Amino acid sequence: MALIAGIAAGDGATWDHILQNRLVPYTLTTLSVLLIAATIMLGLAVPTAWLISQYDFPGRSVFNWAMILPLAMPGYVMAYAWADLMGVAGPLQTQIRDMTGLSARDYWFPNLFSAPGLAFVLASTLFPYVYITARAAFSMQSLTTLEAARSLGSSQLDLFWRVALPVALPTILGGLCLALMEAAADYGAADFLGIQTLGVGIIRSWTSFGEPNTAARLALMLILIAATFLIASRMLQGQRGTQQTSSRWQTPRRTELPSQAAIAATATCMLILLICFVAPVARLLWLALENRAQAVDLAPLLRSSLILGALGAGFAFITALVFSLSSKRNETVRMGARLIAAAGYAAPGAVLGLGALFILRETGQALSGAVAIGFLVWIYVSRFTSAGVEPIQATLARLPKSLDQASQSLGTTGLRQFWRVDLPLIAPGALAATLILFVEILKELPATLMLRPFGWDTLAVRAHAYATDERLAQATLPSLLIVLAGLVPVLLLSWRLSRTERS
Amino acid sequence: MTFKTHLVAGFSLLVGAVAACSDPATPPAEDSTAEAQSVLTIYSSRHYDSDKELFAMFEQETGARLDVREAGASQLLETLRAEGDQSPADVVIAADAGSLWRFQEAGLTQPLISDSLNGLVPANYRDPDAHWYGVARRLRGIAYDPNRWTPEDLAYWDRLATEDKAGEICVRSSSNIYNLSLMSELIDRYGAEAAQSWATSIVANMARSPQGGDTDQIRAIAAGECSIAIVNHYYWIRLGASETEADQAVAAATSFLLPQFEEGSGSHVNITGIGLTKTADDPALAEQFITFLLTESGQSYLTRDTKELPLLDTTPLPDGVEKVPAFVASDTQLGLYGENQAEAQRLFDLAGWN
Amino acid sequence: MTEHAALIADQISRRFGDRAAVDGISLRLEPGQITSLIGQSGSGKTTLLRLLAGMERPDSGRILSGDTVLSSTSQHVPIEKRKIGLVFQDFALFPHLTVLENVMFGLRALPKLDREKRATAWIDRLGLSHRVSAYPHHLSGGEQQRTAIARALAPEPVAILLDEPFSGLDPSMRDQVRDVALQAIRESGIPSLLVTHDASEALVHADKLAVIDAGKLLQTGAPEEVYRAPNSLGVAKALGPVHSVETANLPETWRNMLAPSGTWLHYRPEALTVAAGSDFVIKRLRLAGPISELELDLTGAQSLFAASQLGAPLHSGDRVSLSINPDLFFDFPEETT
Repeated sequence: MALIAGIAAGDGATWDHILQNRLVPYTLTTLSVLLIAATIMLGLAVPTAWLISQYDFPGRSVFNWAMILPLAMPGYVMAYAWADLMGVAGPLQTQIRDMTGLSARDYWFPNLFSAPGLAFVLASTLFPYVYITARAAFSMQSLTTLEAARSLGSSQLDLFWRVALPVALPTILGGLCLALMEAAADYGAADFLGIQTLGVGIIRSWTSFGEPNTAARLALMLILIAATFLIASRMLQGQRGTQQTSSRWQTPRRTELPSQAAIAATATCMLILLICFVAPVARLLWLALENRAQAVDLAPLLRSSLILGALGAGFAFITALVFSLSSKRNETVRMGARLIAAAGYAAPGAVLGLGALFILRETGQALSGAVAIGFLVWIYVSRFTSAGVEPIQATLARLPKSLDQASQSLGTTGLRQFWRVDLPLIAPGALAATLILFVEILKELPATLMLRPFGWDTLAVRAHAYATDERLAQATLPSLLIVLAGLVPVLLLSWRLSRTERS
Repeated sequence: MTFKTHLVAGFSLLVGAVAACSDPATPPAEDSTAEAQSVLTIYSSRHYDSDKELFAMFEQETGARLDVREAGASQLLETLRAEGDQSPADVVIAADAGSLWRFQEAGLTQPLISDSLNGLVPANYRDPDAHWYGVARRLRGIAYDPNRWTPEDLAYWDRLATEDKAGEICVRSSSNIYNLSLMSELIDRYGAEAAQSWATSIVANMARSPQGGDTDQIRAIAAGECSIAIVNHYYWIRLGASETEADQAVAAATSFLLPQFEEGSGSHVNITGIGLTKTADDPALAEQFITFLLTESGQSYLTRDTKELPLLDTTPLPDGVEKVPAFVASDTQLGLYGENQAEAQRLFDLAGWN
Repeated sequence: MTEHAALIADQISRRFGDRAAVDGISLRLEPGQITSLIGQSGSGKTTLLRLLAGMERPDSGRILSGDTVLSSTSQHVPIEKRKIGLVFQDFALFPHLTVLENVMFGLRALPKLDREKRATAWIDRLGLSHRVSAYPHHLSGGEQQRTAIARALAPEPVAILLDEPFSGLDPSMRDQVRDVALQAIRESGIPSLLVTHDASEALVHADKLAVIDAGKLLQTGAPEEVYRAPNSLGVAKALGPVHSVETANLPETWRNMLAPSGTWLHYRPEALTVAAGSDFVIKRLRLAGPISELELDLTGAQSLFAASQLGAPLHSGDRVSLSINPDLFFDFPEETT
């Protein structure tokens, strides 16, 4: 909140002007992008999660983890790739003209530089969040409930629409809310595609129009939207708990699909992966090779990205740990810790970056060396700690209280108890969260853009700089490196997730 | 709880470690051994490999060290503003006079009065109050389909506004600084009303709503979506110099010209410039650096990758730039671009140019 | 109420790999009767239930409802077309639907008004009228299970299969729920199969017992008959505690009365009643409500076990005599313990 007060300080345009020319249009654009993105994400994630959790078809075991791959892809990189693929001079449209003999003015082609285009780009990189929750919800649901429904005459399709989907919906929507928060926080893709979302509006109002109070109000609106999603997701997930899992009747988990349906299922999954991952990555690779893009000075960029990612994820993990453990047995502190962490999660990087610049000005510090890194890590921590706190608290909540007493009766207290009892218990869940954190920090653009000190350009920053300069060929290499660096943790995470669900 | 204090201790240790290993690329400025060495801190909105070579050359020649922060112009401006008096920045490099004007307007630059620089840089390519100096030139002109139009059809900017160009024009969004600067010169020459009516006609003649960058507009000509694109010269040159056949084909299928405003007015010229920041503590070194940029080798490195035009007519053109047709430069004082910027944006908005 | 046909399993088998989970079982579920299937876990009762429900296909044999073939080697009516009601131990209610909506779930073919009427009628019969619009997570276990039974019965299935339906319930309410539920099922005339491992539940509530072990039906018949005349030690054990004793160690008088054919005899503890006398020493004594369980010293290492109502308090070390009920001694020729 101090940040908001900071941004609110200073003068600029009148409230009327802000409302009419900035707040309303930016908010409407943002909401429509989010609405379309939500529809696309549900459309991509829910059917694939259902198919993959309930049926057997060729490639299922690969799709099971591969569907998470787009998470390694930052929204802005997806935007670069698809803007090139779909551009009027791009391969798709050229192909259409070659095949039909039409000229570029004779046919309609979807325009990526539009709100739906941005929604598509964001949805295709963020849908794995929805996919993960949907798959978990579908595989955890009570088999007997599904069998009872079938015995009452439900066909497979009925089963999905009348039972599985309504039961899993709160969980799925919870995942969707988180994905939408990420989408709302986007800056890179919207900036590249020239869509006037709140994320872009905040930075433009501040830097181009010199209206800090406009930026403040836009930021407030964005936080409001994100917080709404956050609260909604918490409420939706809180409603769960009526679902039972049964240990009996577990025998044949997945139904074999008949051949035609199996082909359709495989084709659907392949198409989604193609659109959301393979095609854009392949296009970037192609561009890089075709232009003989040279890997000048990529090593320091990669190093900065990895160090910042590791530092941010590490600190966020530690903060999450401290938050969780200090509030371990105290309900009020626990709620407080969750709230603080959640507030940070709801604040987009652009907003936090501006806040940090404001503090910098007030304290009269230069943006260099340890100060800047400190700010950056601090932002990563406040932005992403929530992701670490949640799984840790979930694990802690499951541990019986008697465990503490038991270990204390054995003479283990304080730090020893932490090392020997608490840490081993919470480590697996928290590590998964840390992996996600690491990937998110790798992709983070606006805050890094604003605050990185000398010599700390990251891959994301460089890719953005090249893309803004219309030097897409040069942007390909750092972009691909981000994807590559993110791929390893994403694969690890994917492997972990599918393992826990199987057991 | 004991574990908390331990964690806090660990936390601070880590912070210490971070501080210690920060700045892997350049040693920290406070380094005691660097005391004797003079350091020039550059905030640059350019990211070109040739700039790096150029900077290295300067370091070698002078023994001074250059610290460079690269970011978008508006990012740099905001950083400078936030750092205030503590900023390490000595000079700022930005493309477009309109952009340099923003730094000046924000009170982030200071005059660097230098007779030798004044002798090198023509008066209209530097700020009258010496807040910034141009170091390279960039030209906003027209890429077009030569099968469709003759250079005569497009010889003046107002010929884009005629009805026969309906549905033929591709151009990027109006918030782009290059468009704002062009509009600023129009306002300066013909007044707000005429400038707005020109913009309105351009909007009416657009083949599609503004989207993408300048390169995208040129590609759209080759793809047949439009036949006229308002673009900076170096985007067209870079396509021709590209490694890929597709890009070369785009350049080959299009021509480029530099319209005048009217007979004898000359063509719109913009600059990449450099200004002395308010916090600069060694103006002499800064002047030395700027002078270096205006030497023949400085000029050729500055323009080698960007495909800009050297500011000094004596410097040979970078590869490919010879394709830009001969032109007469407008003598408008570039400081006007900044002064008219807000008005330009307002008129674009009124004209419905996104 | 419509006439119901029996559900018939005819020589059905189902193998998983080398193991025959169900091995040539024939069983008739008569309309209006509750047939109870008893067996240990792993005995094949769940597989039999899944075969009847249509969740599995038999390798051989047929399943019929009256004359209609539900499963055979060439035919298979899938679960969603088969109209078999299922009730599970974990209730398996739809958590997003109210009691009424849960019960209406299987009535899609009817117009809405009829659906509601029919569902309400079943809800009334199971004594849930006051919970019509409650969601499952607001219901007690007993209420949930009654909802599940109403849901299974409402579409008037050709049979209803209940898999351990009452074992998840709190003992204090189990009896009441069971009475209401089973009565409703019996009145409906729908053939029903109650799978359980609780022998007393089967004995008290079933009209017919079927004991299954290792994929085979050991014995079927009326509860009384199966309990009193088990055809094997396995059946006897399935229905209650059974002890074995070497005939050679028995008192002469008993041997004469029982005329054993082999070296071992098996008996239920209630076959032995304590009487005044001093033939046996009490080794251990356990009070189990109105009945006391006694361990008595027979010759050597062997003990006799009696379950008996005691007239006066006894202590270990006391001496007593025993009278026997020969009906509760079983003589299975081939078997040894």
